Amino acid sequence: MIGVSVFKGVGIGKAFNYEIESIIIPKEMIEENEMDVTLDNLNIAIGNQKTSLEAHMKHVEETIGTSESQIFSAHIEILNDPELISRIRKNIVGKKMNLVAAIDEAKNFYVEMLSALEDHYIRERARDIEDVMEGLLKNILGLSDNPLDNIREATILFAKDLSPSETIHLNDWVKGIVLSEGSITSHSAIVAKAKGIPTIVGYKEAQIPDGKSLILDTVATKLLIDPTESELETYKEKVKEEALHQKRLRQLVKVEAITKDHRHIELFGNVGSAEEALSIVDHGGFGVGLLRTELVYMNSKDWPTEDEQYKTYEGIAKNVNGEVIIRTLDIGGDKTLPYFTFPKEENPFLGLRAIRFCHKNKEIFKTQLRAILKLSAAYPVKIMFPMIGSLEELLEARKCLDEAKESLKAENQAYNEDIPVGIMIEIPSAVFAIDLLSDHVDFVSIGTNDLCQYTLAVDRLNPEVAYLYDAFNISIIRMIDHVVQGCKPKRVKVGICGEMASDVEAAQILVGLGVDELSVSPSMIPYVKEVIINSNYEDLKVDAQRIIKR
Amino acid sequence: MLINEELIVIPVQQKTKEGVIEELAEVAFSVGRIADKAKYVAAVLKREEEYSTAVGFHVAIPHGKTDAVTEPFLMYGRVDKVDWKALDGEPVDHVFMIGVPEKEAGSTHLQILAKLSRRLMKEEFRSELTQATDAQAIIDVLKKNELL
Repeated sequence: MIGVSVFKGVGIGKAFNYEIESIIIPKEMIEENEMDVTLDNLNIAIGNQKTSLEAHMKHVEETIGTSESQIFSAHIEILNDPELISRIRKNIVGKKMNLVAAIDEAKNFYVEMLSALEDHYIRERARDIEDVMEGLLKNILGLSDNPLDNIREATILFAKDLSPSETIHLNDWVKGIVLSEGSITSHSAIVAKAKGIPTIVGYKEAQIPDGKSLILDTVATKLLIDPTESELETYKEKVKEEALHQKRLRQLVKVEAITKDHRHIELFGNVGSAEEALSIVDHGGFGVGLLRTELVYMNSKDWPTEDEQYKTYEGIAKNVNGEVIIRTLDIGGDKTLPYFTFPKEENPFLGLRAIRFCHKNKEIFKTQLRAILKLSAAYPVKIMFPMIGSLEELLEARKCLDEAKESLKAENQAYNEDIPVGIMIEIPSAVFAIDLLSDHVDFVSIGTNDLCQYTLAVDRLNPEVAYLYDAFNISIIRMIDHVVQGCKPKRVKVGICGEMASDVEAAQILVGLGVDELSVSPSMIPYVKEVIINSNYEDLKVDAQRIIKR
Repeated sequence: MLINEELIVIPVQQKTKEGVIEELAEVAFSVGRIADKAKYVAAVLKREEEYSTAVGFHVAIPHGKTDAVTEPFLMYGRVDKVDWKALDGEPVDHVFMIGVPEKEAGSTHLQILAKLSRRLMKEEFRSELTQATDAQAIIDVLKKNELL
């Protein structure tokens, strides 16, 4: 294991270490009489940058896909951000900074502010701002040429991280990417995946000198240095096979996930943004199994209003042709908000998070419930409460929902009276109260990430004990089985929205246990779909029972 | 030409930041790139007060934009561990000095600065620079790195 695979495949080429260039900004003070020219130059530079991003966007749209091109539309939005622009202008007018110093200061201010937050989505946004602002600075300073453009032989590219614009520029000579930083949800990873370049993130091994002959195998996550002739032959064959496999997967986009013996599995995607929702459709998914609404709160400067939430959720709902399961605010734990002071807790994961937070802050909760209810008038929306640990918590949440409905009714606002209601099963106590809980819900979705963490008493982000984190643990499998058995007689549908579902082997076990719906990262949809289509439900059932009774 | 052999000084005699700027400005004046030495030096020192122009790697890039400059220029001076009040606290061995006429507002000199800074990040460029012992060799290094 040399890292985490983002896109599985094999790449053969020579090593090339790409150093992300930190540009030195020639900072100066400007004179009073230079101010107008500087402000004009700012407008011109932003205009030019937008034009070039629009060209990027078009290029990506034509060559890769609409959802990936949205990354660049988000970049254009950054250049339209009134606060950012106003900060740059204030730097010029108030602090007499020259153009590049003014932009650099604003860039550093926002990047530092966002990077301080724990949420990785927000940190990604910081990376986007950095990317856009550095592009702007490079254009002004005449430094737009990039060594990546000059790659002219089969190459395995090594870098700390790549920005979306760097990734998009990679030509066909780049056969593999190895990043020492970056996460599987980073934009560079999304683009690399969409371009179909085998990619590894979190590479921590020794640096390989430029020009070394390499085979990167991201399926087995290994790197062969100076491979022998016979190894090369074997892998060239694999490259060919993988290309054919990808072609077959692409043909499955419109196909439903039905086993050979006709068991239909709902295959959905986990998303947090409209662009990811598009990605579900691109990858052949049929709905949203988990909409992480906390991102709306984390990206906001204050509690998002009902209208703001409505707009964001609608943006997601209209991008998919299918149902959307909206999880209510799951904040607390490792996720905090810049505009709210959370209590200092010894064990935040065992503290005031998710539904517990909402029950303590009813107005915030109701604002969200109203936004979701309003959306239910026009879209097939379901509502899901996270971190339910007892029947009382569920009934209290339902009561809040009823009150939200009443308030909309009083205002003559449209909503779906029968909006399906579900809960996340992620606390062990909920597993063993499933017989009680299932009387009051239409569906449940098992959040395997937290369920594993709480059941096995393992913090999976803690490298000291991460080896104990195992979604295939017999206890977890038995718990999932218990939930399915508790829900089946009541016709309550059971879904899985943890990372476990994205693993093709685990997906087979889950289907065998009788799960009705799998919600995975959009890019994993084709792989999971493929194993479902090629399986027999009856066989999977036998296999699953064998695991349980071991 | 932004720079030629006449604008390269190896070694610079002065041992202080102000002395080095003064000595290099004298050369620029003698070859007709600046019309008013005192005015140019004042502009360069003013910049130094705002932000130190030591960019790390033992390199400083002082610059002045003033109507005392008659024709834009880039100079190179090899100095011996001069204290440039650098942020990293390290002394400076290489000085690139830039002069741009006031009228040429825009970002010409910023582009020279940025291109130079970018090359300086590369170990290879820095060692080539250090190994160059005369004006012709410096010109060759700059040419090779597309700075001319």
